[in-house]
Amino acid sequence: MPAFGGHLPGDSIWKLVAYLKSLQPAKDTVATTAW
Amino acid sequence: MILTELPVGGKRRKVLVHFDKNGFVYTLDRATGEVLVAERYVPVNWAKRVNLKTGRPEVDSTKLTGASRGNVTDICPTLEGGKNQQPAAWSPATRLFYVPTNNMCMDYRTSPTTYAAGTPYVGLDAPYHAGEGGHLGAFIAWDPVRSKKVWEIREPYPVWSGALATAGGVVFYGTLDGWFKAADARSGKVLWKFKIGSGVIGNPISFRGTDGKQYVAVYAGFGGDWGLLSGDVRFGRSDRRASAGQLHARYREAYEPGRHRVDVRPVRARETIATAALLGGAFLYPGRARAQQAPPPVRYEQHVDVAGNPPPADSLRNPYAADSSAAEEGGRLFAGFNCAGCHGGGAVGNVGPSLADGRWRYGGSDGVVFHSIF
Repeated sequence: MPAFGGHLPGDSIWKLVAYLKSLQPAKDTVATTAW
Repeated sequence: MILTELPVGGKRRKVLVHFDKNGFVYTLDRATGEVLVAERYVPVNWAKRVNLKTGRPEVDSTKLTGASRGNVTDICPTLEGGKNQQPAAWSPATRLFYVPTNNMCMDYRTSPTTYAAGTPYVGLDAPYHAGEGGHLGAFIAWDPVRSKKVWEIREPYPVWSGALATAGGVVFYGTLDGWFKAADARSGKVLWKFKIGSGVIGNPISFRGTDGKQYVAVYAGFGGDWGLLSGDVRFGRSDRRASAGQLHARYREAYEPGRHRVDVRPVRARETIATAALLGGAFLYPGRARAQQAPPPVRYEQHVDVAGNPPPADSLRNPYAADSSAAEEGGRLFAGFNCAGCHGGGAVGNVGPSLADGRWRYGGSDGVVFHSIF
């Protein structure tokens, strides 16, 4: 994935993070921190 | 494109045979360009047939795409093609072609997007799904005279390696889940397979060594857009209900690093010996690869920390955590900066991984996700 740090201000990246965190995972999956 | 001679219409012709991404295999008179044969070699529904006089496909209008057509569903094959850049092989011994193929269909929906230098500029959401049979790829043998598939070896993932046909009656290819396989050229029976340790998108070759023996070698190691895949295609859509533990086990089964060089016993009596050389492997160690990258150009002061790097992830807190209006704005940014081009509409995954399934390759804290985007 390309880096977006040069394209988006920090505020916008935080809004993207808020959007991704608002997407609910399916009930039968378990969050993992890393593979 | 492969040059050979074939009987067409009762006459022996010098031909050029091409397995196109569009799902048709074309046989042309290589002196005149006349289209002699054009047949489907994978499931195709975007065109009904190819007009041999004009060489043009007769398109199914219900599969035409564009901004005015909304979401067009179930188009076969996908943008990746019935086959991609990986070469097919021809055996003068069996008079068959051996072709690595994809078995995928797609939906197709365009959307307005914003150009940002250095980022994908697609304006398209085109999620893929498996075609008939539920498998994503197959290695096939094709009879060009009868225009018919003779056999196929179904694979759970697209077959992205090249094909090698040997005079010993053995054909070779590799798979995205790290197998290098040898099959009987006439029957398609898998004679031997070896877990190389990384997905194979290279092309097998055969050569005679200084010891006089015949060797087969393949360059293995992920790359290209399939290197982006981290879950949704690799595990198959039907596996989305698998638990994280099951997925992790399959990941290990698929990508356990192997030895860097292996010699294996002959697969047939004709002294065909396979030597697999594992090269590359950056895909196996994404954390290490990322650590070696230079930080991206920094335009905003709030991104700057020691040595120009972003601040440590664990020191970051999202000022918009649980802010629904900020999340909505983030959704518009997701579409506007074409994140959906790789991660799919709604971030459900496409050629890039899903970001909506609770599985985070590099960690799921707000700060780590910020770093991943940064």
